[in-house]
Amino acid sequence: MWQARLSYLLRRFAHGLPIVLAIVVVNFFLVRLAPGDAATVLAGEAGAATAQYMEQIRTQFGLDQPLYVQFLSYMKNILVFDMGYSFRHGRTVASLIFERLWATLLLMGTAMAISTGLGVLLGALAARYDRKPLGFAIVLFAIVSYATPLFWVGLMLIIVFALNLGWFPTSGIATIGADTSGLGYVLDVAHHLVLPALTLSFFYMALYTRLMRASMLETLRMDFVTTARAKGVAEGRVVRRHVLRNAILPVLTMAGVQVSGMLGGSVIVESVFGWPGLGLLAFESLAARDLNLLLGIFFLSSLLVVATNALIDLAYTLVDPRIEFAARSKRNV
Amino acid sequence: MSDGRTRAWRRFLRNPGAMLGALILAGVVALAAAAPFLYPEGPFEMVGRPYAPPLSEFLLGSDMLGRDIAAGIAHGARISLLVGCVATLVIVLLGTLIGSLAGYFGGRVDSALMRVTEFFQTIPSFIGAIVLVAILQPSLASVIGAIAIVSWAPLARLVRGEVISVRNREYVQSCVALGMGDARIILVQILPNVISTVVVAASLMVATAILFESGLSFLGLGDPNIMTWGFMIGAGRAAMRTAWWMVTIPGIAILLTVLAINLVGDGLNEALNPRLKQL
Repeated sequence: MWQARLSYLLRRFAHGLPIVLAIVVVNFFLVRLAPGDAATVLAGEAGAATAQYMEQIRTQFGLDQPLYVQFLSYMKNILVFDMGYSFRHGRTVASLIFERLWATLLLMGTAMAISTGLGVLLGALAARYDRKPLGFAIVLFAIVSYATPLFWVGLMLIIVFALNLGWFPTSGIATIGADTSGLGYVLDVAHHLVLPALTLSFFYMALYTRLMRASMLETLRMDFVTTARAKGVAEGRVVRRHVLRNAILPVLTMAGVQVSGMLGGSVIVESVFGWPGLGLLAFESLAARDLNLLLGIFFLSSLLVVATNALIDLAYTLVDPRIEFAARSKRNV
Repeated sequence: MSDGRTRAWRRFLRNPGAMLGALILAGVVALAAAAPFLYPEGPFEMVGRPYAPPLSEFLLGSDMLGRDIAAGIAHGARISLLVGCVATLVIVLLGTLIGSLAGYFGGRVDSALMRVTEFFQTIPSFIGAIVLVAILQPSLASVIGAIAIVSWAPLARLVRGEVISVRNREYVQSCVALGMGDARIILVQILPNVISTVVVAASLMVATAILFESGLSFLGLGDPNIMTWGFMIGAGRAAMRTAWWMVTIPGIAILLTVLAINLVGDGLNEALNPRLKQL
């Protein structure tokens, strides 16, 4: 069985390969789309670039070579994750990105756990208490949350819980200057994580709540549920064993699709909370007009989406054994 | 057909959520239309004391430069609605074109177009939009273009599915047998049957586009000469400790507008596709 899974996983990654290739091509041409010379763009606001400095960039990026030579060397570099140099930070793009990656993954992972967990719970409750006050309140909450801009949620949480109540820090990932290690450091990071993770999960929680509710209501009407009830299975058990398990599948699919959206959301949330991940790096590179770094982040986040899509497909086969590995080579979102 | 339309209208009018949404939306549209008359001096004009709280000198207070926040809200409504509508129009044109070509012709055309669609669905859309706007320089046109480019793919997929389900019906087949041209079959026979799905998806897309635009301008990627709600929130951040209203009020404007459009969209969905589930 695990061999079938492994070969399926490999095939899934192979399916993502053309997309990765396309992203590389698009990235390459995007820089050349910018008004003006690509060298000026790459230099960014790196300062009052001297003629000598510009010449150095031209040689380094091979901008004086014909286009296809440039493209080939670009491809060669990307294969080994050489995404160029950030003149702003004075470091390679790859080292900057990998240093910041874990903070984003921590934020997104936490937000995903919160949003799917609470979304499934609230959606199930809303379906169970359909047309009752609790169900109505949950639906109302979901509709409003669904329409709220993420950055505004973050700012409101800061005003209430950080500035007025002082329960949580306003920004950062750890207390500056605090000499903590081990468990103390973990707790410190967790304390800083609460508001950003809640902010990022807000919109998605609303989405999953709506989805879960609709899915539950539909499953509750199905024949096998009636059969289970007719057999005399207790209502609580019907809901837990028969309805929840089936109703949760669309939420799982959606959660996989939303990884890409969450990456975008993390740019906003990280800029609001000064959370030092990829999103904040993207925000900083915007301010500094450091396009090369921005494109590197774009490339890596696209890779992240391709990889998670494949993993979600695999998780799907674990949850629902009916799905044939072979039949799932094409995703229908 | 007209009977069906009347019934759809009745369903829409009887939906309290949709009516509430339509009411709020009408208010936002009216505010946008009246902005040049209510605040002829424009949203950038410094008209009074800075840091004035709401309900004092100005109805909604002033910002740190003494600009009237109400003027910003009114003029910002114009931009939000404009961006939402134009971006959605481009998305609908692009998505319908690609989706119907893929669905109608099938085969190689389909698989090639769906490859492209899959690519656009995979790239993280908000980061993609940031990259596009940053490279093309922030302007109203680049913001609208970027939103459209990263958002058309799901609609194309939706249209393709609908077209495929209509394509093999007998009345379409009989048009093929009659020798009707492909373009005419798509435009006259197929698309009218797909339109209710597109209308519902498009109405919800206006809301998404407005949220997108506010996010971009919050990050400082808006047209620097245009006052938008997202820009107001981004600018007000610096004074958040002392002046909560500068970030709170424009956020409520976004929330209400997006909420209203979503409610109208859900109402349209229930009215036009009564048997279908929610999107």
